[in-house]
Amino acid sequence: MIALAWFLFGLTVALDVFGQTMFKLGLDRIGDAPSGLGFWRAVATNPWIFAGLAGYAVEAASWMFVLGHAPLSVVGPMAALSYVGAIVAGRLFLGERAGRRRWLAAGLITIGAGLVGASLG
Amino acid sequence: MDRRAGHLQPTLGRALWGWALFIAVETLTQVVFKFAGASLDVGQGLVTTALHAVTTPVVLLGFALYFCGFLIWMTILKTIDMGRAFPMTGAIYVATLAAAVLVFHETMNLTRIVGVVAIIAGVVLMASDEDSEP
Repeated sequence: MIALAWFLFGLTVALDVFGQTMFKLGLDRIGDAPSGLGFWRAVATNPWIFAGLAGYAVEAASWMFVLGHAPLSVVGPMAALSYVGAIVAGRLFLGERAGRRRWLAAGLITIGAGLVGASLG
Repeated sequence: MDRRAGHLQPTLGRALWGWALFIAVETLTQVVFKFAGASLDVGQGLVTTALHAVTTPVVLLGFALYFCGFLIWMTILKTIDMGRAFPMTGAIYVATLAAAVLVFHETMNLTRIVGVVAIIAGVVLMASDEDSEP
């Protein structure tokens, strides 16, 4: 797996966490969400969600390159690292408090991702 | 955090269909993305690659699927917390691994299998955490 693919893999995970955080921040600001068309209008005009979507667009292009140059069975499972990122981001930016069990889970995912990466030899 | 849950609680059946559709769309997106990514050659320079990308049907299909996944995800995230919804996407990784073996004939080795099992265990452990609400 070439160095550029590894770099873009890291970028993909970072942008995924960024997008999720922006979506949640945006949805929280929409608050008592109107249903149906009103909800989608609120989503389409929300700057936080727009920022998340922009991140998603770059993430998609980056991920496309990564997948084209690495086995799906390696980078697919390793993308679970964004769960770890989501816990950290939730803690830092959304005031979500993760318990010990969730941090343990994050550790398992990190170790697992390390093993899967190492399995390329 | 659950202040909206009252009037937005979906029926169980609807929620299950939503998740099933989400997992199917996300897995298909990975498969299409891999075909698309393999068809792109960044050695041609960024502009040429971008122009090539937007005129290649499989790339456009990948982006369309990606956007569909986003819309479904938004409707799921609308009803539950991110910390609760995100780990449930773990099922996508099982489906993706199956696709890697069946569609792309990738071979597994012991290290990779142990790693994936650890990841899935982590995701399930995360998903089963009920005491995370602030």
